[in-house]
Amino acid sequence: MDMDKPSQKIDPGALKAWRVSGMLSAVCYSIAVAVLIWLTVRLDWPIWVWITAVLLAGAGATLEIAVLPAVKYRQWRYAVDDEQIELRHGIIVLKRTTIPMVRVQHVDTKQGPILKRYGLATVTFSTAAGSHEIPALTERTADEIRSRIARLAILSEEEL
Amino acid sequence: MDKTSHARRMHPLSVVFFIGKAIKDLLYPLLVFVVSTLLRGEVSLKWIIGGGGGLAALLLVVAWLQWYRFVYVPTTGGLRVEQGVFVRKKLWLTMDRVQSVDDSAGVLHRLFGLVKLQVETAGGKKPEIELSGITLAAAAEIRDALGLTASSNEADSAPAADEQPELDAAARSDTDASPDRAAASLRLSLPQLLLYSATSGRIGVVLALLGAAYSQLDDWLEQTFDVWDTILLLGSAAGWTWLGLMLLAAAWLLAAAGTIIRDYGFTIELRDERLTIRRGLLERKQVTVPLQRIQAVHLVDNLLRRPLGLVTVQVVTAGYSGKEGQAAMLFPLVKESELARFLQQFAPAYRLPQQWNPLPRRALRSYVAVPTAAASLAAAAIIIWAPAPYSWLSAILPLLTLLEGWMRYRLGAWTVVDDAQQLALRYGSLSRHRVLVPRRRVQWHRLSQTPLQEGRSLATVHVAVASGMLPAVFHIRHLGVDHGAQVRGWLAYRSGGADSDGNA
Repeated sequence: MDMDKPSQKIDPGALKAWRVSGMLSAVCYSIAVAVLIWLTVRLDWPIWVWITAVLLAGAGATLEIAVLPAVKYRQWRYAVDDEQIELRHGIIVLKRTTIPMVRVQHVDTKQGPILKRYGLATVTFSTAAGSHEIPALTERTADEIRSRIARLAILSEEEL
Repeated sequence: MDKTSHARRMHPLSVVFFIGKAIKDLLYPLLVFVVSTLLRGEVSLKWIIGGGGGLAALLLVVAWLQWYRFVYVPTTGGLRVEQGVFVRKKLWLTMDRVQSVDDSAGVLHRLFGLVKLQVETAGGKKPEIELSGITLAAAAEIRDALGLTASSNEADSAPAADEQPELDAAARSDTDASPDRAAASLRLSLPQLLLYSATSGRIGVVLALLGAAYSQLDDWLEQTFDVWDTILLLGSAAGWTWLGLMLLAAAWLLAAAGTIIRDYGFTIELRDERLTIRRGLLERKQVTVPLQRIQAVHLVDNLLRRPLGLVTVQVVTAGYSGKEGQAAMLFPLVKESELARFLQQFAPAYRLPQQWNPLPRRALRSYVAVPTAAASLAAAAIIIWAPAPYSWLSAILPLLTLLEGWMRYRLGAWTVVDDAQQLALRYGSLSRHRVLVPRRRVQWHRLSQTPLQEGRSLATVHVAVASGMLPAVFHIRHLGVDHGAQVRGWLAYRSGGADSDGNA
């Protein structure tokens, strides 16, 4: 979409973290496929059952390891200023979301084991109409943004 | 209200309501039990009487205990409730946290001059406090305690108004009788109600219900007599058509009757910045919505009402009456020509836009091309696979889709009402929807673009407002990108102002 992109990219470490989580799901797929192959042999199921399973698992794994993280990383942009939060993301459908700072009710950061391993965290802001998040920022940036938004949100308190 | 706050109990009739609730909760286990005993065929009269009597006695005792252990205390500026037979649950509510106080009255309530009172805060759990049966005076006292005195004198006049046959055509009357600033009130007249019920689109719901009921009864019917044989006896195509028409008419009548019962005597009243809505034939329901809580006004006119120029006015509110994410009806039927006046009276912050920005011509293709192509494919598949004579009927499928897409394109529009700081969106196909969203109610907004839209430089605008637990997101598809940027710019908070400058 046109015009000024929000300036900030998310942390490059996100690429690695997403790939690792992709690999984890690939492991899960392989186990499922292995079970299926074993069942096919034991129970004389038709051959296409496991062939489709292998193809699906393969496609899923490549998508999750090679394609999606890169695309997601390339597309993600954000900007936080005193008045609003801007997010630009989306893999096929490009979305530009704007959240006025006065509407932010609370901000929190969260971190799963994989993100933690890479020193990353996800920032979530909640409004009265659902929440939005910026995935995979370095812990420092995440904390900075969180405290900044918290400060700004307090300043601009308004009734709902 | 210095009457010392001592503990009160609800009206003794509440025992009945507690019994009713217990039966409702126990319905399924009870049904399973009854059916299984019946099927085992070990029914003796002794068992039925003994079991039934025992159960009834138990229910009565438990309900009485529940009633006895349910105590409420209206204090100055608050309400305290203690309930629970064994586990005591105590709840304090202060007046500044109360979101709404609603009362409703079922048939039984009305016979004894009682109401059911529900008190709600902004929190998620449905009604925080439910007093299942108290006298009107007690309800007024609670309203007093919660600082809602304005509507309290209304509470005793509400049933009185019921008795008065003021169903005459004069629906619009500004009540200047009451001393405190009663702004306006409006009652749905009987002809209007009939028109509203006749044109309600709820026939589809009834048909679905009938279908579901039929599928449940099918087995049983098959065993008793063969319906299909009887139907086939009717034989001819004419017979079939008549049957179909009769079924449709019956469903329509049922739907209309349901609407009449639900919305009989629909009254809206604005007083002290609060809208009070009352409705219902058998059960009088009352809902109070503070003007402050209205997030957006949603105007809907369905296919049947559009030619008549009649509009249903709904509002999106941030949580009220336990109905999450649902629009509340402000008034069932308003003439298009009176709409501006209606809004001015009952939702003064909202204004109807004078003119709309239509979608660009290139958007027509986006609305029409893909759905029609899909419908054509489906139709082709039906024509190929389905048996010959009727399958050709599916050829109208793409045509209908085309028409629908064209209607969507024609209705899609947006505009900005600058002096009211509002964004207005219009969309729909068979029903026309118009949404008025004040800028300061927008929780977030979004411009999105699919690859196809990118090629035609179109975009979709999404606007989210708060509505209880769920967000209400309105969107207009296939806006010109330039217009999309304009909307975004207008919505962007620059120089901190919800009030002043409109463009950024």
